[in-house]
Amino acid sequence: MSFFSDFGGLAIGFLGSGICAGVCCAGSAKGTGIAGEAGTGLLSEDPSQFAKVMILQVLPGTQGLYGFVVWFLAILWMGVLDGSAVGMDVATGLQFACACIPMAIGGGISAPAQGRVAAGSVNLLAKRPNDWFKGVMLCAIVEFYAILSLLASFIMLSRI
Amino acid sequence: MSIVKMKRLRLFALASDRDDLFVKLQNFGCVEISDQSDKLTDEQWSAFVRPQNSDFGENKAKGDKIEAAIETLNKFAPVKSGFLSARPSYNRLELYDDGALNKALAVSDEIIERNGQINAAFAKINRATATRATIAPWANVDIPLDTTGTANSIVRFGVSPSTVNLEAMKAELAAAADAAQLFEAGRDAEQIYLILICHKAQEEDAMQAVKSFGFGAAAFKGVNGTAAENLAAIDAEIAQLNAEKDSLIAELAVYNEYRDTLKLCSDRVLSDMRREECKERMVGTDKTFYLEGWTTVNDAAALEDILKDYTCWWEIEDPTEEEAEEVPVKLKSNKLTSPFNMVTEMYSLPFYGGVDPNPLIMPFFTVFFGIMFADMGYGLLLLILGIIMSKKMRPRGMMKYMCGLMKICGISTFVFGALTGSFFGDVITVLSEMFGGYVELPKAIDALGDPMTVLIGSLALGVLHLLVGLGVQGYMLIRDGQVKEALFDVGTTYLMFIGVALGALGVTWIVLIVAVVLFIISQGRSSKSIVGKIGSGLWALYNFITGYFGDILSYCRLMALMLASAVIASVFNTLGAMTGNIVVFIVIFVIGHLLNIALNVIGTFVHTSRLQYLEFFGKFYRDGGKPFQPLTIKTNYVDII
Repeated sequence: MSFFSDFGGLAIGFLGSGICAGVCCAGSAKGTGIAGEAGTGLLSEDPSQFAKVMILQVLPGTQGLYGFVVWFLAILWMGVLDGSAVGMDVATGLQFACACIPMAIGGGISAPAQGRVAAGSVNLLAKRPNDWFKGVMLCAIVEFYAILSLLASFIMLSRI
Repeated sequence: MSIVKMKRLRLFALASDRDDLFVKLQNFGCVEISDQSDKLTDEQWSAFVRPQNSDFGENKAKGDKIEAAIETLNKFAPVKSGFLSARPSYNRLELYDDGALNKALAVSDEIIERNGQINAAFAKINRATATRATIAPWANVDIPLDTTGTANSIVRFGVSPSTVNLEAMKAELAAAADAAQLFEAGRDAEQIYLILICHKAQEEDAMQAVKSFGFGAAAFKGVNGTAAENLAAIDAEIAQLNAEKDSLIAELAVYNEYRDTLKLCSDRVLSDMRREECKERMVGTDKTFYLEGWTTVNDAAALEDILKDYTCWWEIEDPTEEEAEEVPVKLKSNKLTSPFNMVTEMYSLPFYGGVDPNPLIMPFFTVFFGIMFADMGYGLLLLILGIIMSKKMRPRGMMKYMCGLMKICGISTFVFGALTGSFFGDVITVLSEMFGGYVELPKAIDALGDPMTVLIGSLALGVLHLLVGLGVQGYMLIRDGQVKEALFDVGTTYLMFIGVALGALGVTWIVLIVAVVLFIISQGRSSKSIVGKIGSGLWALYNFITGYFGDILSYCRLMALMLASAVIASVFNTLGAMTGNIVVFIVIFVIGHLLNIALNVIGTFVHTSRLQYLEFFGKFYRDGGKPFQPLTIKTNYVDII
């Protein structure tokens, strides 16, 4: 029991922040994967659209970045980087873990959704190259909810 | 700063003047020509008018030819253009130079012919490569591939699938025919290459035995001599064809000196096509034609000057009430508001009788963008990039609007960055800590430390934005003489907001109560019965509260995006500083901030636009205007001055 109270807090903090980074990155990998797959179809017809296809593909990649940002802030504020985290109590560890939840859920789910919009936008780019930016704008609408998740996690983390 | 007033043009003129007049109109560039094809089925017109012929098809063929030539040059003899280079400029005489056009067409023919030769060379290379692939597996065989046998024996070349067990096949063959032998010439992933030699008398038995193992004859059409000889010959042929192809491609580079002429003439043909296409929109008889279109009020006098040199009858009138739906819309903008055309055009132009939204969205768009991006460094980058792009590229259309937006929004981003003490996030603080000191930029608003203030400020700005939108609605109603509607719909809403404000400030709640009562009464006015009036009034009140609640909360995105870009910026700064090495810091700093800018500039633009489109335009905007598209010289490659 004393082992748990000595090291449990840090472990729980790691669990929460780690899941956040991992789930967001997995979501982004899925999202960029969906968009990239659609992109290869267009590129095989018209390689000159590479830059635009790439922009569309990286859009669902931001959730991974947001997840990483939350993970980083969590371990920074837990004191992992300067060593002061050793002996963190369980309550604090739980607080850190819980603060990471919004980003983990929001990022992990919004990234594949955004990936599908990006894949649709690749089709838009193929059919109406002049209107492709409208596709980018549609992707940014999905992005907003990842930003809100980031903020929710950030504000909670900054108050621990 | 408003929607430009239009005039309707009706013109009868002589068919002999048509081509000349159209060139003049195109150079004038202020007349939109409407489609008259409905006159062909109109009872009063159809008896004597016919569609107009034009040279559209001929010009299109020319244009396609020149475009194909330019494409060939771009493919085989590309020329590197400088980063952010401007289009070359020509005057109208150069644009309409027939000598240049004829030269361009002749050069295009030659280039297209070369392209055909190059493609033929590619096809030959492909054929030779394919033949080589069929012979290559037999490279080790030293008897000629066309050998069929000797006086008493036969020789067969063939293949079996690679899954076949060769030992079993040989055993089967030995059992079936004793004077037969099978040799393996080679094998790859799919096939085993085999040579069967047997006595003539046993041919059938031997063949039967090997066929059961999937043995199929290999066909060498027109191949004489051994595989090695053939391969050498084919290799030599491929090398020669490649040299031929390369020299053909190299020769194409000669035509690069005509590249500019080709581009100029492509644009000339394009403008010819536009003119011819407009001719097709008219109707006429053998000797005359009838044109109907639109011009702006300011250009009407100049247009009459042009027309009076011709034998023709015309009429330039204000549009009637019924025509309001068809009148094309042109927004009159000054230097400051014209970039906002980008935002308006992306949505939809206003209805002719509506208001020009550009001056209205200008202050809000600028401020909202600045709040969401809010960083001195990012603002400076946007501003500098905007200035460089507009100087170097001489951009047109959307690109020009975008450069203007980058400049305006760059300045406001800088201003809000200064207010929040943000320069590439907190890089000054992080760097000073890295070197043992502590410097913090002064800030009026601490976004990360006190997000509540930012949130309340955002919502307050939102209320202001909505009230301005509502005010425009009121202005439009009063302008159209609907004072009662303005008072009932807009006035009561204003009173509600005043009531809420007074109540919240602790002055009095009476104003709000009065406002609610007035609102219910005014919104229920269209119903007949008392119950209906109260019911629809209450329903309107419910919609009002939920609608405005949602609208106002939507402005929290101002805070959200402001904080998000600041958080990510500071994380990259901290990451870089953690390494303790200034070189690594710079690398992480550059990559991180570029990423942050790229992501946030799109997000900020989209959400700033969204606040205009949904919340602001929702209050007053009537869209659906058709853009004014006069017959002008439109170009892709060059600028006409």
